[in-house]
Amino acid sequence: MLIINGKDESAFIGKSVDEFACQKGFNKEYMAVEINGEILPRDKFDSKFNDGDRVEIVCFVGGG
Amino acid sequence: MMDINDDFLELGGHKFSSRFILGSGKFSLSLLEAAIKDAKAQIVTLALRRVNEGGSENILDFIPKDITILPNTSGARNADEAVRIAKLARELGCGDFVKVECIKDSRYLLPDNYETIKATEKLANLGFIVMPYMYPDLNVARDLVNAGAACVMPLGAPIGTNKGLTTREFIKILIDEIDLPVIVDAGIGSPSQACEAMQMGCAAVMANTAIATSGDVRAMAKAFALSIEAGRLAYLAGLGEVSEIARASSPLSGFLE
Repeated sequence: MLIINGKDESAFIGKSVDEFACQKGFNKEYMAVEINGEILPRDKFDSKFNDGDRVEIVCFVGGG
Repeated sequence: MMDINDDFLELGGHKFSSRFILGSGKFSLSLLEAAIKDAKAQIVTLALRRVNEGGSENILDFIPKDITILPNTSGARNADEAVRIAKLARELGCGDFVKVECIKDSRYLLPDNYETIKATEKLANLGFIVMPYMYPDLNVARDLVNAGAACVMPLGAPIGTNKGLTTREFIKILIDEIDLPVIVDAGIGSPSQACEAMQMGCAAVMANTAIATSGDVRAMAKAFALSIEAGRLAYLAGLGEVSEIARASSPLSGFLE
C-alpha cells in the first residue's frame, strides 16, 4: 500500500513524484516532499514510489 | 536626534526597515498583496499544509519577491514535529527563517515553552534563523537566547483574540532584560495596542487576525503601519515624565495687568 497525505494511493506505486503531481494538478515548484520521514530533494522528483511508502506532500498556505 | 531612516530591525544578520510582521492567514489571496503593500511589511508569515487536489493557485504567487518569507511551524505539538516542519519549509526554497510554534493546547493555543526551547536549539544548530513564539517568561527567554534564537516572540494575548497586550508587564520585563529583539506576537487587535507595544520598546509587532478580519483590510493594514512607526518614533524620542500633580505648560508669570 502507498499512503500519500493520509490517503491510499496504491495506483501510483512505481510512478514518480513528477507523474503524481502532474496527474493531480499540483505545481511541483511549490511542493516539498517527504518519503518515510526523509525529505526528497527537489532534483529527485523523478524517484518512483515504492509499495509501503508513506509520503507527505506539502506547500505554503496562509498562516500567522 | 535619532534618524528613523537609520533605524533597522536586525534578525540573523538581515536588516529590515519595517517593524511590522504580517501574518497571511484568513486573507483572500486577492487582497493579500495589497495588504502587504499597505502594511509596508517586509516579512510575511506562512504556514505549511498538505497540498490539496485541484488547488493550482499558490499563495507565493501573491507575495512580492522582495518580501522575506517567515514559515511557521503551526501544527507542531512538540520540538521534533517543529523541526520536521521547518526542514520541509526550508526545502521550499524561501530562506532560513522560521517562526517556531509548539502548541499542545487546542483551546487557548498557548505555546509550550519547554518544547519551544528544545526546537529552537535544534533548529539554530541546523542553521535556521529562529524566531520562537513563547509565553512571556523571563527564564524561558534567557534559555531561548542561549539556545540560539534570533529574537523572542512573546504573546500579547491568545492567538486570534484581538485582546491586545494582556501580558504587558511580563513583556516589559523581557524588553528590559533580554538582549535580543522582543517582538510581540499574537493577540494584538488594534493599531493603538501595536503602538503601545512599540512605545514600550518592542522591536517589532506581528499581527494577522486584526487586519484580516477588519472591515477594510487595506485601511487597517495602513493604520497598523502608521501606528507601529509612530510607536517606534515615540520610543526613540523618549517619552516625557509622568507626574501625579499638574505641571503648567504655560509660563506662570507675566500675566496681563
